[in-house]
Amino acid sequence: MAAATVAAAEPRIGIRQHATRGSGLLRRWAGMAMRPIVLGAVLLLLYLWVHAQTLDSIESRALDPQQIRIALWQHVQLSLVATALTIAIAVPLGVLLTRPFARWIKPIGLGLGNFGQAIPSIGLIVLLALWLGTGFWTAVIGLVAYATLPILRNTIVGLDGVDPALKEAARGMGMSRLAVLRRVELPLAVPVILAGVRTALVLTVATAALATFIDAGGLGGGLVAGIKLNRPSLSLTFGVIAGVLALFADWIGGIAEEVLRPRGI
Amino acid sequence: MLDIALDSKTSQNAAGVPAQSQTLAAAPARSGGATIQLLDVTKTYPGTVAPAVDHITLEIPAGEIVVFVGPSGCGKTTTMKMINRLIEPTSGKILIGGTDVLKLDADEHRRNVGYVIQQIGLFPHMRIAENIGLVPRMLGWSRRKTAERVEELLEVVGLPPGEYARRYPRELSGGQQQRVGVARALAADPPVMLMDEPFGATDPITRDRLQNEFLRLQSEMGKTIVFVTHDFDEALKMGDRIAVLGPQSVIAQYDTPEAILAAPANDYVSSFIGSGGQLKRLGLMPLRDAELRPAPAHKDLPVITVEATLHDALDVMLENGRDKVLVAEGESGAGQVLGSIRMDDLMTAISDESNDDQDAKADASVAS
Repeated sequence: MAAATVAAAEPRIGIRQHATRGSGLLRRWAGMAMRPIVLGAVLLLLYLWVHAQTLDSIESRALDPQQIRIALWQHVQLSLVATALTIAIAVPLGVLLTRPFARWIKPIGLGLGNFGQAIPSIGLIVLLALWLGTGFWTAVIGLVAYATLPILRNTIVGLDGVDPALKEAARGMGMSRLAVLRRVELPLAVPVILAGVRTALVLTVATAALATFIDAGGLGGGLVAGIKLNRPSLSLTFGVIAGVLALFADWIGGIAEEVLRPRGI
Repeated sequence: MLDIALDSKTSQNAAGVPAQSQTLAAAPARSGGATIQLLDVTKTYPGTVAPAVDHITLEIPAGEIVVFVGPSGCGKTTTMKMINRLIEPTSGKILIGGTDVLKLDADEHRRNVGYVIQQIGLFPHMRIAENIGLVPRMLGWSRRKTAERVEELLEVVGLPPGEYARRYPRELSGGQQQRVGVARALAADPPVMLMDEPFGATDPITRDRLQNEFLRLQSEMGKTIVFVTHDFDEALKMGDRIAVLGPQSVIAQYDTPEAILAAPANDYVSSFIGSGGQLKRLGLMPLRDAELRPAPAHKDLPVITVEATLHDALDVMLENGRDKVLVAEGESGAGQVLGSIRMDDLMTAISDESNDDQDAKADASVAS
């Protein structure tokens, strides 16, 4: 009898939680919708400003929309391929390093990740080019080495953060170790892992500007040309576009976190 | 007296078995419970000399709740976890229904043993229905059959499926979550359940309610249950039998709650019972089983329900300054008067049972 009354009284709490969560979600989504509008406005301002300038022949050649589109596409390709590869390497590595049998090599794995991020990215990319030659894939390898740490670290932190009681309950009900990983640990670690992916993505987009030094294209080309040829309008344009791209990537990462976060946590 | 008190529990079980096959008809191979035997089981952790569990031999009869009670670190949880092999014994044998579980596939074995833990351990990213349906799905039940079973179980634990099945654990109170925890352990109708301080993290009122609900459920199911707690009063309430464990899981006494209270085997057990052991004994004796005197003619006596215990009767006597109370039917004693009981009857009950107990001890077949 008493149980029934309690059961009847408690749902209200649940609903209230729902409601506050709902409005919080709405506010978050509204905040998220602002980002592309602001970025679009920045690009529009840039476009209007460039049009208001009188451009010499070098500038007008470099600021040709076709040229910008090619550089942008190269930049996006570099970033996406590098991030995808980083995820493919860092997440399984993180899973491996959190397994009980591999605990002892965890510091080594994290150390390598730290090393990759600690060496200056420009130095890393140039060194890699000396070793592997210039081009797209060399740049990708450099970017992967540079972006591995945030994803690796967050995968480890996310998996280690799963309540041991949940793992015990899962084992106790007869899930195999693999099933515990797949059905309990990974889903619960997803928000933390995604935060790492988001960091890595932004880092990659920003660092991909250095790819131009080893002839791998990207928005860095125009930026550097502007400095070398003393044409600030070039540097400004490509710099702003690279910045907008990085913020846009961060925005995409934020949406991914929101959408892929398991419900209920 | 002892026999009567014991019978009241076992007869509930016996009556519950046919009822069980009706209410839980959705799944095949319904077994009430299976006997668990621990034979000379030892666990020594690598790098330690002293075993955590030292040669324990114990038989847990089918359909009974056996409570392992002892101080923290005495190895009671380790002993329990060896039954579902979350901890592998160093040596010894564990049989469930005669089958050596150490020879089975460990994951497979665990799917057939219900497991409830203090932290509940509901998966926060799965809805309530999904949480409960996990083990049946792993055992290869169809979606439909699993869904039917989940609904049935939610009804059984008093959470209407329409309202709760699609919620996430976070949206439930602690008590409701532990009900789901129990439902999840029961999902595939395992013959054996292990419960590790299942109600330890709830407030006293919720705990009392969960205990009562669980005992009612068990009277219908007749599972074999190993229940771990450090709270002796909970052990008295829940256990058909209690194993009082000392360091390294050495059995200090293994007997019915009544027998342990009447005759603690040694000082260790006495210290665990604490003060008021005789009052606790009265608390285990239902008025329904007591011999009542005819009701006296004058009716100005306090009244107590027949559902209460001798302990409650004593309390009413003390409260009203009388040496007798009327016993009546009905939840608040508002029904037909059945008779009366006097202070000396309580004393007789206590001393009678002690004598009975000495006899019972002589032919007790329970290993300790």
